[in-house]
Amino acid sequence: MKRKHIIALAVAVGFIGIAAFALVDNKIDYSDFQKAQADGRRSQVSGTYDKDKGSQYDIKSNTFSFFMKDRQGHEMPVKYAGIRPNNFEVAPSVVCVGKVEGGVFEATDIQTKCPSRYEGSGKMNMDGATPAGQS
Amino acid sequence: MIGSIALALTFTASLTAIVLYTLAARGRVELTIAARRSTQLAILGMFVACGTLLFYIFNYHFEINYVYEHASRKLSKFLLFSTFYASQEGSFMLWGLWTSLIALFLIRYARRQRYEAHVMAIFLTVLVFISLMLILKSPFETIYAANPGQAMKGMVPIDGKGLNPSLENLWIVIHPPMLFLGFSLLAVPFAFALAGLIKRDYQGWVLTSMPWTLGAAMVLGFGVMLGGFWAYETLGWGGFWAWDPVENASLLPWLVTVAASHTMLTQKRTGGLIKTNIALTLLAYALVLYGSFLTRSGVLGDASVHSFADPGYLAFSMLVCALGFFILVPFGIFFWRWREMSGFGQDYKILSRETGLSIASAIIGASALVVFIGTSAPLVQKKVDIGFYNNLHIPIVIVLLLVNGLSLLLKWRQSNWNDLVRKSIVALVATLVFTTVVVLLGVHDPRFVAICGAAFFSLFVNLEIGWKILHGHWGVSFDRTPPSSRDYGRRVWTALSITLLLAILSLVIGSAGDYNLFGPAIAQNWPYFAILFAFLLAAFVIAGYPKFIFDTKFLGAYVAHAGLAVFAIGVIAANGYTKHDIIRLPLNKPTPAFDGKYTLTWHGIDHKDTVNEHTYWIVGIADKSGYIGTARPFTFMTDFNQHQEPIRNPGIVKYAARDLYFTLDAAETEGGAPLDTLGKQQEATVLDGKLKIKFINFDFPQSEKIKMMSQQPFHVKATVVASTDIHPAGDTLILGVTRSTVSEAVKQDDILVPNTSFHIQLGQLMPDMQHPANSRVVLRYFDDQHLPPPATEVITVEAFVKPYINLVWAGILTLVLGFGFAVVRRRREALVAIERAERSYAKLIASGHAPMSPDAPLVEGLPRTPNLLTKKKYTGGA
Repeated sequence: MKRKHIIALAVAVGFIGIAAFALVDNKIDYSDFQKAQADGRRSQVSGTYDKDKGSQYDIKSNTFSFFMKDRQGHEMPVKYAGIRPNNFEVAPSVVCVGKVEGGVFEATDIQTKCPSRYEGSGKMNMDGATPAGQS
Repeated sequence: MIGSIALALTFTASLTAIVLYTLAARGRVELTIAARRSTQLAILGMFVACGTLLFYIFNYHFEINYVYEHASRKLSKFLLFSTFYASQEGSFMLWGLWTSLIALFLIRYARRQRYEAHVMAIFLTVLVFISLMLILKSPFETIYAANPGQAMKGMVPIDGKGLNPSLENLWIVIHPPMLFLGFSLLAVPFAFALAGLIKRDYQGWVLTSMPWTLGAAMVLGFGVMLGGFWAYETLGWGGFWAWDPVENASLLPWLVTVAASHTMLTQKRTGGLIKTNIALTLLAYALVLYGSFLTRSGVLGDASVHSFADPGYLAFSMLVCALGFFILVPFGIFFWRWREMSGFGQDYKILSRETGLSIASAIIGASALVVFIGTSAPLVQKKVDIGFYNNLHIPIVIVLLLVNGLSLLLKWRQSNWNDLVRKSIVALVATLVFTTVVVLLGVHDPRFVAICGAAFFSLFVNLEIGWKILHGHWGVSFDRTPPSSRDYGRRVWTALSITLLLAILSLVIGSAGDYNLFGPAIAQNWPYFAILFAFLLAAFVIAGYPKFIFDTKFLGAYVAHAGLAVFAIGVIAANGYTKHDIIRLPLNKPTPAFDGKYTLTWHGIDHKDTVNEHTYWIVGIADKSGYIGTARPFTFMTDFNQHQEPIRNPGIVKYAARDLYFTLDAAETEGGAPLDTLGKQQEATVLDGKLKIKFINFDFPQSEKIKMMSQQPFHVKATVVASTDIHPAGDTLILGVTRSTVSEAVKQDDILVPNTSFHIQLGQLMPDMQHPANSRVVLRYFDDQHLPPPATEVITVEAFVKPYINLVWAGILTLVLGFGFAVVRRRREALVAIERAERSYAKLIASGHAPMSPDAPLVEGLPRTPNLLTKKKYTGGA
């Protein structure tokens, strides 16, 4: 093995080491509120927005807060540092990334699922349909 | 019907062609013609299928499920076109269309390069996969088959569901086609690499494939950039790249292809790195399929903003099979031939261009590895934070830019330190000066300073070399010979093309891709372009026809690298130094923003766009020097979310050195008389319990409906019963309002409740046509003696200042241009090389040393370029 191969190998191993470290550092688990509360780690929780309890945006602190029910049915207040996400009211599901602090899920990122037609809402609107061949 | 038959034709014909080509490759040369015909038939099938789908879309054939699900009569022709690839089936159609189109050109090119049988047999497997996918999940399925029980047989819905609103943007008409062209193009180097592997032509394929590798990198890079641009212009969060798995899925093959293009250059020089190049090229295509598996199989689920469906068991297994096939087969052959490919290549010193290229490739590979890990995390129910990508890319980018600058100063094979130092002086001094300026401008974060420094170094090295190459090879001369009538035509044509190009560019950039603004912009600005046209024409006639000399042949690499450096600086500026503010803007009241740097005034709304029902929120911007622009973020309601809440699009005002970016957050009314919405027979107690209002019914007579239809002002009435403590039985009052469909003007009758100081007005009618009993009204009321504070409307906007974001776009466009120059150069080289090889092959045949075979597996073994001196003699072939 030549010297340049050894250098290359050393650099590669070094980089992979750093990458592995960064990976552990930045890993976010798919989780639910109970688990997130227990381990206190950054995690991703998906669920639904509790419409009955409403949502508020506070301009002074730039936080948007609401209540979310996770897939296990546990509910928790969520505080998000930002404005109301697009499609928030109608999104069939909401995905939050953040961690639990003092009984509140502090979200740094919220994604709303579009009510996607790819999933086929199943309902067809046949109002005013005309017989084939007349369009 | 025609569509499905055409798809079946594509499937069978491409399968037949593969069989015929395989036989031809194994010696049955006479089958080549038949294979070619069969390929053309497969291509024809794909064209017919796509034409059929477009026909269905543009003629609103809503009995076709795909058309019903994605098209709509409301969409403009532009957007109607983009419904063609709005969803899975359609994007496979687009992929198939590009693949077929490329196949058409590839037959000729591969034939010329003596690679036809092998390359086409491999390339067509892609078409087999795509057409099979389309047969299993057909875009031609009718609504009756797709929605059994719901769709009445023989009846056609009056309208379709329309496009996802975030796709209603001009960039979406260009972005997916570019991306899929890039994906389709990557199949060509893949086919050449695999064919080279099978033919044991480990060197020749590199030269042959080079223009395609570079071309794919160019197109895919452009496509990825358009995706970022689309996100920036429509999504409203102020950024262009979020390391979303879907974005990463298209970035990955690009990174690997760019890495391959560097090591292929080394192999061309030294004959070494055979295994690296084949592996990278095969990997790039495997990653295309991996990406399409991730984005289409539904595994990303919660990890991405993009919505994906579960494509169904059949389609899912098909995707897995394709992925497995395109990984296992090529890499199986690769490892089978492993030993044969070892030990080639001239030696070179550590301090040489070759080492530089290998390191560059390895660094790009490291970037690809990082992206791959992050993107694959959802497969194991994990996700990585954006920090993972950003933090790891800081060292990657610094080293990449430094190595880029240094390696270009090195000579091929060997170099020495003194030489390197001497050559780098100019660039180093310039780097020092510019980095100091950047630090003085306020960039203090050491990571960002390091990236800027490395970027400046790379930029100046490339500019210096580029300038040296171009020096004496550029300029413009004027042809002053009196023009003939034909020359006049050419001059008019040139002037017209330049004018149109500039007009289109400024139109698209100026209106930020919002095609609704095209009409007004053209109406406003056409005289300027008419003047430009007249000026150019006059200049061509008086000064002569310009002849530009600009030899780009050797510039590709330097232009591309300079673009990368500019891009890196732009990313640091635009992402590292974005300013963010959230501002409440009362109507017509100038309000300071960004610590008083700007003054914003909300001037109200504009409903001009009646086709798409966009509402524009007009925000005037001023700085210390006065008015500087108007932002027009817009909102619209859509069937897509059942009209529940508006979709918000940002408004961007572009300047040379920054963008001002506005997203509307909320609109509300403060103060003013309170409003109440009442259903029929519903009663509200208002004004501290002093007044009760009950809504009885409304009256919208036929005569007024006719006025509404003919867009005249119309009058509607509502009956309410108002009761007070003094008169508990209540008075029946008729409230009226005059409205118009064409303007915002509303005139409410002001009705006083008898013997009180209470006023009631009819705000709005909310009729329910299907269930008249559910109709509602909005009422407004106030007390003369306690007048409410005057109503003010207030909007909340989120605003960003993005400094130097134009460097991001300019950098990538320059990078893409550089790849373009390189494509032209390498294509010429490949053609020259094959001609040379053929001449020596002809000599060989003449001397009776070579077997006669038109699809010669024999170019191998023949030196195709003088550079190609290898350590080991070839064992295979003639």
